[in-house]
Amino acid sequence: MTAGTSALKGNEEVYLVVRTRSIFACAIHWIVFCSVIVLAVTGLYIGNPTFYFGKGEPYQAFAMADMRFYHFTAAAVLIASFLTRFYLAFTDSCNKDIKQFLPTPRNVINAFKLAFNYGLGGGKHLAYRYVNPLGGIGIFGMIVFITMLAGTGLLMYAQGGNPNSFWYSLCSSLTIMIGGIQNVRVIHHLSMYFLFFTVIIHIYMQIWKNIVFTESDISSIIGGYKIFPYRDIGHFADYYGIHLDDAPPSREEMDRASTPMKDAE
Amino acid sequence: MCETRNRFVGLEPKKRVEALEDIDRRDFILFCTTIAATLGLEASWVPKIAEAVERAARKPSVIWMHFAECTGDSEAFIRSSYPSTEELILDILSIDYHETLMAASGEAAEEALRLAMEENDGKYIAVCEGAIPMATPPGPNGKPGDYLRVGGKTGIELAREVCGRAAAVMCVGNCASFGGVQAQYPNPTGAVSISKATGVPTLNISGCPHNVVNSVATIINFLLLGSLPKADKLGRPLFAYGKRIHDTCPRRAHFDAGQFVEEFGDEGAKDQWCLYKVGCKGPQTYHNCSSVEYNDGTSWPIKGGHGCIGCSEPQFWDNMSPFYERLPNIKLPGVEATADKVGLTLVGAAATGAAAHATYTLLNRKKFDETLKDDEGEE
Ligand code: HEM
Ligand code: HEM
Ligand code: SF4
Repeated sequence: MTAGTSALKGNEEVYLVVRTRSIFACAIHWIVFCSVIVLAVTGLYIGNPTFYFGKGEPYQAFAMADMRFYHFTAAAVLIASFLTRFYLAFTDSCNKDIKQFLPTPRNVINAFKLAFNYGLGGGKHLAYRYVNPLGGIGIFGMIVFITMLAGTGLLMYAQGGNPNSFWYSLCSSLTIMIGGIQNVRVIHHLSMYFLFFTVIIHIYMQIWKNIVFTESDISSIIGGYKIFPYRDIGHFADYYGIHLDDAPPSREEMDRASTPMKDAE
Repeated sequence: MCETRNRFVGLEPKKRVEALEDIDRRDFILFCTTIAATLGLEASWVPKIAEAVERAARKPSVIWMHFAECTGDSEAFIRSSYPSTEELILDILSIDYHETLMAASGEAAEEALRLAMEENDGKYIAVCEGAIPMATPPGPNGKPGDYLRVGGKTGIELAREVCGRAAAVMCVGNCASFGGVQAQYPNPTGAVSISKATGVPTLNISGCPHNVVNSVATIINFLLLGSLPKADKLGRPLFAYGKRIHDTCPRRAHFDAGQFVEEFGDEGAKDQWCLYKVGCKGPQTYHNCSSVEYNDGTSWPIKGGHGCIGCSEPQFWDNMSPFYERLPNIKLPGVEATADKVGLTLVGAAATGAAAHATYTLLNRKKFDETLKDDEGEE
């Protein structure tokens, strides 16, 4: 595990590099990102085919068929990687992070504190080693909307299936419960826009946090580590047995801090 | 022709067999082949179908009821000449009661219904056309179901009586199957489908009107195997409602190619391109129009250049509209907007919020720097 100090501007500016998630979890984040982009572009085309036309005779052009193929392929990738990520949330070697994404009362309270802190700049700055509760709420939202997209998408996909199959009758029962396929389609559209809404805030918040505060969250999703100024680690120092005093922590303490935790939070 | 039709209602079986003999053998085999194809059976079934039809003894008795509707399904039924002639259709069945076809009226008609039900108690097929109004009209004397009375009885009473004693109930048309147009918002008469009103499970040959090929094929299925065909979750027989219109649409190649009619009358419309962008609901509608077509295989909406409006789906008037848009509108209290408008507002709000916060941060940079310093943080 990576651990290191770098002394910048004297003793006070000591940085701590800590592992936050496995490389595998990082890779999945970017696979999800890419598939959502593909799904959004192809989905918007399917919904309103405007920016790409099939020229020539029908057998020469496959504009819509192509777009649908990409949509379904990206959907398969999204669903597979999402399920893998869900599994990792319970079993990952660095960070069993399921609790960081759930809106537990504790997370909600802390998210409010953070919202105040980030939003207006008042109150105490709290650094989190893992996903912070405010980010966690947003991520929970994205999980819900992606699940709804996948669910309604599968219902639409099942429509063309074999009517004698179990899968078909399951999906048509669900569709009837939702009030018909048109409602399913409206939900697919709305979930997409709610996802866009949360994603915009998610991206803005991550970049903003990276610029305004010194902790580098973006490296946490690219390389799987975060770099904290030493003075920020106070609130989770207890976990690692680091004692806060004027002297920087010893090499040994640093190493301990960087070892993966057995039980996140 | 109209008179000949009436000739067959209420005829004795023997006379009907004679009438059947009048029919050209060629037409008859053509009819059997059409039915086999509709049911998805192979050619070897054609003789079996012919045999089942010819065996007069098993002709099922049919009681055909009209409720809140426009008689469009009866119209479709008696105008069809393919499957063969209307004589033939009427001959497969012993239609013992049919308000618009029979000669009797008034009390004689009520008596005919009573007799028909008694003679074939528990054995007849009830064919229902039209929805059942359940609401109570305003006013001091209003009773539930008063919006429809035939011979003194409300639609609810009649439907429960006739359907309750039937061997099978077949609904023709969207009204009987799902409530139809009159059951749509605001549904002043409280119209519901036959199965909702009576609690009796029905086989639904939906559509507005239904396609006669499908109702006849259902009956032949009954003659052939003694059972009703397998149905989907909405009670529609799978042989006719197992695939979407879009799955077998003749314009499908243009859909896959991305060639769409942008507005009626444009070049694409002349070239018979796909009607997706002018609101075709074929991708959402289960029906076999694209393979059997309507009116003796003459035509059907998409062949005629108009998108499908989903008339075989439940609540199509509410759910599938606007008919010239792809998505229904979202009705929020006070406003009605498209999903895309709602969505773009959301996205705009997020982007504006982010921009506002970024500006705020720039202007108040100090505040954030201060919080950074003030961090004896514990949780
Ligand atoms: C469609 C776009 C996106 C979706 C659906 C998405 C979704 C997620 C999810 C589910 C997580 C938490 C789970 C995990 O660890 O993988 C996460 C974390 C994160 N995402 Fe994204 N993301 C998107 C785009 C982006 C972009 C463009 C950035 C870069 C600016 C970004 C930066 C981050 C960071 C830094 C974290 C880690 C937060 C932390 O550890 O505190 N995301 N994202
Ligand atoms: C971020 C994820 C997704 C976005 C943004 C998205 C977006 C869209 C949009 C805008 C449409 C057009 C809907 C219409 O008007 O008919 C659509 C259609 C569709 N989507 Fe998605 N979608 C996503 C995920 C999925 C997933 C996971 C599936 C799963 C299989 C899926 C399956 C479908 C299907 C089957 C259609 C209908 C295509 C057709 O009728 O030809 N989508 N999607
Ligand atoms: S016209 Fe309608 S049913 Fe036919 S391919 Fe186009 S969208 Fe599908």
